[in-house]
Amino acid sequence: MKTLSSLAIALALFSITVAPGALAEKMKPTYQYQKPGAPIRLAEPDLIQMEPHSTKSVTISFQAPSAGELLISAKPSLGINISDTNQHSFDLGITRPSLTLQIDSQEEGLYNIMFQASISEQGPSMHRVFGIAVQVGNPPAAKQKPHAPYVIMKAEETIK
Amino acid sequence: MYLKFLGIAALALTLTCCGGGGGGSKATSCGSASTGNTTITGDITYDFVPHSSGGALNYDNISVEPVKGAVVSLRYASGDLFSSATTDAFGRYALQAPMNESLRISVRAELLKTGTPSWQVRVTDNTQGNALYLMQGSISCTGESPQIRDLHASSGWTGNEYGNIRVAAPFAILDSVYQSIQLLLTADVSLSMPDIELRWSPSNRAINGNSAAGNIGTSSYDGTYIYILGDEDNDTDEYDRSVVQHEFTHFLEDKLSRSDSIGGDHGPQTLTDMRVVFSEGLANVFTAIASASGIYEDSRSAEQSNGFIYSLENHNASNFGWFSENSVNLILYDLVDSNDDDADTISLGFSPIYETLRSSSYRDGEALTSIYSFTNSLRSILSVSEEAGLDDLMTSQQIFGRGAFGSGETNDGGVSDSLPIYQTLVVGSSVTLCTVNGMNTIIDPPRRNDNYNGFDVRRFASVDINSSGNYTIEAQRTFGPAISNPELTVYKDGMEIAFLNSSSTDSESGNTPLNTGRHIIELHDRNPSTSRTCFELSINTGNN
Repeated sequence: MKTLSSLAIALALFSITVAPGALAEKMKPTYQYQKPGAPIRLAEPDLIQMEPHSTKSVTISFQAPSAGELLISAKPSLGINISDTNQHSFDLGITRPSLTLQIDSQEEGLYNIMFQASISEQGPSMHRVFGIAVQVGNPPAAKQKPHAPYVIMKAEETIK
Repeated sequence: MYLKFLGIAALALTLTCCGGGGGGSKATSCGSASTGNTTITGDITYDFVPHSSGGALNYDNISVEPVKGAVVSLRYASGDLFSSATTDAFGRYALQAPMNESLRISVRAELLKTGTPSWQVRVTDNTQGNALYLMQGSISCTGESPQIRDLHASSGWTGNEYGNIRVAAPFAILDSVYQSIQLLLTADVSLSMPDIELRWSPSNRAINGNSAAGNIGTSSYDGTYIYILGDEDNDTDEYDRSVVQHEFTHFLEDKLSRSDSIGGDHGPQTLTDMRVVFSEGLANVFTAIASASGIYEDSRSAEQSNGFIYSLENHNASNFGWFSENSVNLILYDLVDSNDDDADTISLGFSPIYETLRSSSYRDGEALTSIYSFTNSLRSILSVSEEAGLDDLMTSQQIFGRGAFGSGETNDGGVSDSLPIYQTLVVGSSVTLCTVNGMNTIIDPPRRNDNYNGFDVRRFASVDINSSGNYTIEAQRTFGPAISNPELTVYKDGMEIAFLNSSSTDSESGNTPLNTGRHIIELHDRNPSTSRTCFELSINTGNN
């Protein structure tokens, strides 16, 4: 385990031995340990921007393994429409998968298109849900909202 | 199935008194003028939505489950605390209360245990300033006789949608962690677990971006917090115990053991970096054991009506080897479970697994974490026959290397350059390391246009340093397209101690001080092609 104490010791050692021009020591990087699922993600773009009450054609490509069959479909959030919500199949050994969608926007706001994907090769079929944000118009200025210490929810209560 | 872990270690039902006092400025009197204390007891429960056989959520079979180990408080209308306690293993609580005062019961989405063992687990909302979830009852008069106040957290499901507030969700997440802690206690009665916060919101969706806006990417552990999806009709994970406990295992590895995993996309089918597959396989097995289900399952899509599920004991796999999450799944589960089958003749239970993860030989070992380093440390507490059983399991998964460094491995996963797993580098000489990068072309968000954690993406060399001093480490492309951008990471006993990542094309070099002992050098081409690319890696004494 990269404990803080061992890290501190290591850093202390280097503070003594590092010579001019030598490399600085590297702290442990932050990695994201994500849940199991189909190994697929957006390749490009990672954000779609468009004007209100407009139509935009976007080709969204995906990074996936080079073997197996990919089934994928798209679903927009409320507030935007897309031209194609059908499920598409790709042979990953032949094709780099992508979907071309016509997006119709209405009001300003932040929306999204979510993808349901499954990849089957050998063994259990794996799935992943992932999405892309669609910014219609200009993003609102960030505001710092005060937050309460609790999210208070009403319980069903029986008193006897 | 590992039912013996269901032997729940009940949390003591505590009856705690008293933070406030009747008749003070906080109090609101009701009923008669009698004073003194009475008691309030009750059951705290939540709706648990189980899975169908296909991994979907089954709203037709919602069960009422106890909220175990959670903090219950008796508060005045002002919010001031009178008394608090924790629920027991049946969700029961008992509190002293002032007679004839108006107070309410509230339950925090928090597991809290002080002393030995100890833990603090909180479920918060990342879209509301990381505020702690809390459910509460009404302000009611305590009266003079003992009173029962039961509180229940509803799922909010109204037939085809979450039409009401999802009160149960944070408590379902909490219960999955409670299960995990019970498993840990079977191996460590003195467990001292670092605090952990799990962040969930109905707005948590599978989009990368600002977590405060709910764009968490996916359910994950980021080295500090666990984020859980809550996006109805796309992907919710609050009832997916497998997901919550899987991510909780990554936290445990990080804080109580060691993980050198570089994270990223993964799944049972892919051929992935050995550090990643061990960490992920361990997390899969941990939830299968902690939940006593023997499976991994994850719901998704409209009305959470789809999902996937597989058995840790028995599932189809084809990519056997040290690079396979499947293989780690099967080996670790068979080590623990009491059901012998095929090559499985060993039933260790969970304690030896935990003992190994906590051992200094594993945590401070020279080799990077993998199925090799784990089993090498595990062997020290196994009998001869148990070691033979372990060997049988590894061989059945086509893992032939032994020792922490996987010496003698012959399974190259179809990529001959993947072996040996660690090339032996000697000061004053060089070795050749080749990458292919064509088998698992996954992009990591911070490193776009970059293959990341495929088993053929990164190559390792070990080098013994016999005298402390400055050393020059260099990698030079010798084969493949002239577009490479190698980077080098130097590890000692699991610590990353140097990182060489200039923008130079086809080469990388630098001076770094090294102390005596074995070091691991990782070579990664940041600009990989699907073509085979080879580098000459050398180390020489440098300028002091």
